[in-house]
Amino acid sequence: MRVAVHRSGGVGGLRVGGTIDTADLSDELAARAEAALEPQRLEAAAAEPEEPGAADQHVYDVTHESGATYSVGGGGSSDVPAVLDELVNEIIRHRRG
Amino acid sequence: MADCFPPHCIVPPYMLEAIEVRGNAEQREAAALIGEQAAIYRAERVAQTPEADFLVAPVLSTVPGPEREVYDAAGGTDLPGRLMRSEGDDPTGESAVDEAYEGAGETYAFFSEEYGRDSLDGAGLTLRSSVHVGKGLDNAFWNGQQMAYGDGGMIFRGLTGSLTVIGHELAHGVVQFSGGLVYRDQAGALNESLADVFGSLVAQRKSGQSAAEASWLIGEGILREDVSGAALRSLKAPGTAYDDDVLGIDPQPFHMSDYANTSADKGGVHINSGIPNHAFYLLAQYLGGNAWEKAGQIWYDSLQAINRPHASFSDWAAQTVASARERFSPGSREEIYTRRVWRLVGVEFAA
Repeated sequence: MRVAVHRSGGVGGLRVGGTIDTADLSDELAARAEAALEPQRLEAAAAEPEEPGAADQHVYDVTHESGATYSVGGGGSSDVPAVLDELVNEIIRHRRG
Repeated sequence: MADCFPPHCIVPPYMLEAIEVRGNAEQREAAALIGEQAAIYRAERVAQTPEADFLVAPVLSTVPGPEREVYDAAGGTDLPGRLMRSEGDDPTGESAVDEAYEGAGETYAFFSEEYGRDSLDGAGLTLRSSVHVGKGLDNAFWNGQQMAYGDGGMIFRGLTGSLTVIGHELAHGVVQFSGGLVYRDQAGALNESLADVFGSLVAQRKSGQSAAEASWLIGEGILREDVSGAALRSLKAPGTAYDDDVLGIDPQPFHMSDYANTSADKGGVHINSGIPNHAFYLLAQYLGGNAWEKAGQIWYDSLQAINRPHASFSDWAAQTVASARERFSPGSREEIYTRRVWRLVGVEFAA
C-alpha cells in the first residue's frame, strides 16, 4: 500500500512527511500501518472532536493512491495518529539517509 | 463569510466555536454534537464577538503558590499516567519529570509575581504535566486541561529541556482561561504568538536577561544534532530559526506583506504568529529594560481586556495601544511606541 503522509502543527508548526510504501517497512509495522490506513479507521479518527482550548497538537494529512484524503488530529483517543507518527519518522529517517 | 441559510444553519459556527472555547461542559458537549451533525458549521470561520461570560483573572497582591503534579505516561497517550511528583516532593532524579515540575513552577512564579495571577485560570488551577507521552513523540502540547511532553524522536530531544517550550504550553492555558482565542487563522496566530511571547519572557526572567540580552528564541537547543537550526522560532528575526533539508526553511514572516494565506496548520497559526511576535520584540527593544515589566504588562493587560475570541491582528493591535494608554497614560512613550511597532510590521488598525 502506497500513501502520502504529512504531519503539520505541533509546538514547532513543522510540516514534514512524504510518500511511503508499506512494502518497504518491517512486517510488524507494515501490518499495523495497513490496518491504521483503512479508510474506515481514518474516517473515524478524522471525526474525533478536538478538545476545547487545545493547542499545538499535530494534524496528519493522508492521501491514498485512490486520491482519497483524510485529515486526522492528534488529540483524540484513536491509536491511528501514533501509527502515522511512526510512518512520518520512517520518511524522515529515509530522507536523512 | 460563507452564505448560511436556514435550514442548513441553525446555530452560527462562530457561536459554536465560542462555546467550545468558553462554555461549560454541558454547553461544550451540546456544541460538539451540533458541530458533528453539520460539518458546514465547522467550515465557516467568522469574526464576531459572541455573547459570553468573559473571564478576567483577579490581580492578587499575594498568591498561595503553585500546585503541581507530574505524571509518567510511559510511552502511552492515555493521560495523565502514573503520578511521579506532587507539590513539595523532592526531585525524583528523573530529568523529564523534574524539568516539567521546575518549569511549571517558573511559569507560575512569572504570572503570579509579575501580574498577580494565581495559576492558569487565576484561581489556583493545579498545573498538571505528563512526560514520556507517546513513543518518540516529537511534540509538546496543551490538550485543554494539561501539558503533555514527548521524548522527541527524529527532530527533537526531550521537550522538557526548554523552559521556553514549557512556558509556551502553559501560556496556552492562560490564553484559554482569559476568554480564549479560537485556534485558527489570525486569532489562532495571536494565540500562538502570546504563547511564544510569555514562554520567552518566563525564560528571560528566570535568566535575568534584559530585552537587549535575550536570544528571543523559542525552543533553543531542543533540535537534534542532525537538524540544521538553532530553534523553532525567533521573535527577533522571524524566518531564520532553521534551514534544514528535511524541515525546510523557517517560514515565519515578520511583516504583513508576507502574510501566509494557507489552510494548512489551521490557517498558518505557527507561521503568521511571526508578525505579532516581531511587534512584541520591537516594543521590548524600544522600551528597554526587562521585557516582562512594560511590554509584557501591556500584552498581559490586553489579553485580559480584549474579550474577542476571533480577534484579528488589527483588533489585537488596537487593544495593545489602548492598554498601553490605560496603564501608562495617554500620549506616554509606551503608547507611542506600541502604536509604532504595529505600523512597522504592517498591521493597520483604527486609532
